[in-house]
Amino acid sequence: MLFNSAEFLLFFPLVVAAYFLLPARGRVYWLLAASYYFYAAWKLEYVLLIMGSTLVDFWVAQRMAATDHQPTRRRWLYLSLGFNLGLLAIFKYANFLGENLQLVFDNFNIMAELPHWDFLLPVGISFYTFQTLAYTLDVYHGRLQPERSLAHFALYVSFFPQLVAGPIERAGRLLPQFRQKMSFDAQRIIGGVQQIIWGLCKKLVIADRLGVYVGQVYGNYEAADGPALWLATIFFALQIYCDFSGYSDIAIGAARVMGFELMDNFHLPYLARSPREFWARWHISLSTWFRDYVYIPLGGNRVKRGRWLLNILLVFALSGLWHGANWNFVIWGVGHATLLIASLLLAKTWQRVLGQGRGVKLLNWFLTLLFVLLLWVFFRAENLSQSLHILTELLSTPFNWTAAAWQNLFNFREAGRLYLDLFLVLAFILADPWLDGQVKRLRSGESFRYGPLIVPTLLAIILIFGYFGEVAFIYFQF
Amino acid sequence: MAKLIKNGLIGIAVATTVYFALFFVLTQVQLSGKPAIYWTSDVLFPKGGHAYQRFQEFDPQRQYDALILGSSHAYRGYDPRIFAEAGLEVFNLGSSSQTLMQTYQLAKAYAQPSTTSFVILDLYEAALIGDGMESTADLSQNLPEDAPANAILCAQADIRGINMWTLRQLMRADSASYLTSAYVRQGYVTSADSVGQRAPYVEKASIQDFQLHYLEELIILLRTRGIPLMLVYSPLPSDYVAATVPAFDEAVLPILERYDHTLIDFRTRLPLKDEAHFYDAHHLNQAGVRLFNEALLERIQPLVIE
Repeated sequence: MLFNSAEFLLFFPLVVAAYFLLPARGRVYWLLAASYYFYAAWKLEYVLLIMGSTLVDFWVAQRMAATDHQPTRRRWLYLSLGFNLGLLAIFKYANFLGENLQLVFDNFNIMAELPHWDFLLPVGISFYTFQTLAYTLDVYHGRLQPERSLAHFALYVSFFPQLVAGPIERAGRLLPQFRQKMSFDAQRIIGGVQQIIWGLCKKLVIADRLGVYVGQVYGNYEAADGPALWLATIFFALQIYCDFSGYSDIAIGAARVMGFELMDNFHLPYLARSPREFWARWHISLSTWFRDYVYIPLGGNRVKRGRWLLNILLVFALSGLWHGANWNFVIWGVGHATLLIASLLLAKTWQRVLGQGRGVKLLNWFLTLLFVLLLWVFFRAENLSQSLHILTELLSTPFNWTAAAWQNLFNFREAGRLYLDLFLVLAFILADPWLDGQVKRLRSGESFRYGPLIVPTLLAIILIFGYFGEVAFIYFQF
Repeated sequence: MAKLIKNGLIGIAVATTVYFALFFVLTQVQLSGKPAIYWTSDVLFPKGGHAYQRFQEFDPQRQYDALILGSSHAYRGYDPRIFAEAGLEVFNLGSSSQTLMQTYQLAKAYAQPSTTSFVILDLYEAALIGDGMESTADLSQNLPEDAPANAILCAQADIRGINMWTLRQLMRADSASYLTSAYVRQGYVTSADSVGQRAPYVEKASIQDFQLHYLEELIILLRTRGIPLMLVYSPLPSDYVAATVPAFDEAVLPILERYDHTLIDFRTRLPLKDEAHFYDAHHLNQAGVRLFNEALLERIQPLVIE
């Protein structure tokens, strides 16, 4: 069930209404049932996976808490890691691994044919396995007491607003909220609805519209000139931002309507003036997950310089792999690691030579954006050869604004639609910083400034400009 | 709760005002040669074309021997002039990508016992697949009467229907933005009488249950009104027959059996040649239409007299 579907439009108000009508002790069970229903709407069998993951981690945490014997605790931890990463390995990485092993076998003339599995990737598996892993690791390290209620823990794993694409929540934040009796607070509900509408606007008006041009150009990349590829790549950067941050806004808003606060996931990432800042603003819940559960345990920056840089490289390569079983994602991750390492190593020299003036800040912003854009090519392209072809075109013909190249821009979308897309992009770029500020106000119990005018306007814009093809959110595939 | 309701009502009022104001502006602003509103969506069609011409010519009060319904196979495949040679006055209410949902709504509005002796429905696989959005976009702008247009928009049950409805209201006074010379009369549109580039059959979406439901509703509606319904499958090129027959038969024939209805099946009955009697991948040219219509008339004349 997609957030941008008619089913969700019916499902969500029903769940919320019943939630507030039910006595406090029944609410967790109601939300759990609703969450399983939400997940089963994709495929009934998927629910068994999430139940399995829930049961294993609930039980493992109990067993770990029952003993002080460290080797035993570690064995329980390995069981949890094995089960969750095993699920990911089977459903997400088995074929990738098999295909690459097959290549190695073929190169060495080893006569072996590895099987190919036709598993359908369970939606959101990367998100909820990381969420349960965080719980187990927190319990193992003594940062968290194990949850005694299976229902509460099951809801933590499957809470429908953030189940399929995050934000990846920490048990220490979310589980205590399930024990609170949430009141029917009109101000808070209005705030939640406002954030949902803003998220829908980003998804339907920007992401899905731009996705049409991106799909056309990347789908016919050999027929596209440099300018068309640049425009499509810029559109993709906006598409993925609006798609994913739009999803996060809907998730956070939906949870807020019921009284739950989820963590922020985005904060104007394309305004970042360094790679480090970009990652503090982009997919924050995943970045902090990798920081807390991979980077720091590896030693973080409290190790020798070579090891530190290796830690960064490893974390970003894993982050790339988390996104998908494809070398393109790994290269995307490694590319970001390289960018980050270069910026960290050169930061002082850069500052000493160029200073800290406004012009330098602008240059920093431009360079960060440029490299982020170029790396998105790996994320969007189907394979490595396509990525390299597009990158070559982008870098070799960036100023090839001949009449033919100009005409080529319109080969992928009618001129009127493309002009309208550009107008909407411009309007979005101008409005996003202000609206992001309004979203931040919601955390302190306030609502959008000029909300009675702004939010209905957003609704009207959605209705007129929205792309209502029920396009799935990009991050669902991860 | 009172605050929530108050805010909700204010929000709806403001959203409605902004929506109509913005929509109006977009109908006035020209972008790439037409009002900007048409670039906002793939399903906002300007008023005009053969659908406009057809429904302008059609007189619901007039007596017809038969109304013909269906998709492009209907309005390009049943020539009222050939029917007239056999003494039958028919009007072709087929329209682009018409699905069973729209067919049902059109029959409900226009097939009245006082004016219609019988109805011919051209059944074609494409009338049963897809969501019918294209036809709703077409008919919602070109039907002169509000009632059937609104009924189709409601039955479509899609949020984009709101924009189609608004466009209809704002463009009500405007004349057609274009007309087609291919339109003959009585709803019929000619096909170029030459064989074009043959395209192979492209697999489409599967048959939709809700469209089958409308087939049943149509049968029931016309039976209730006492209007005979002739279900006809017009001729198809050989590759289409091979590709579409099994799925169509599996979905449709049990329904017809349930209602004791027969299908007048011309899919393979006539000795038509793919290159000589079709002008594109699956539409009959005028030579094909003549052969088909004459064969059909031969088949249905006894039923009409009866």
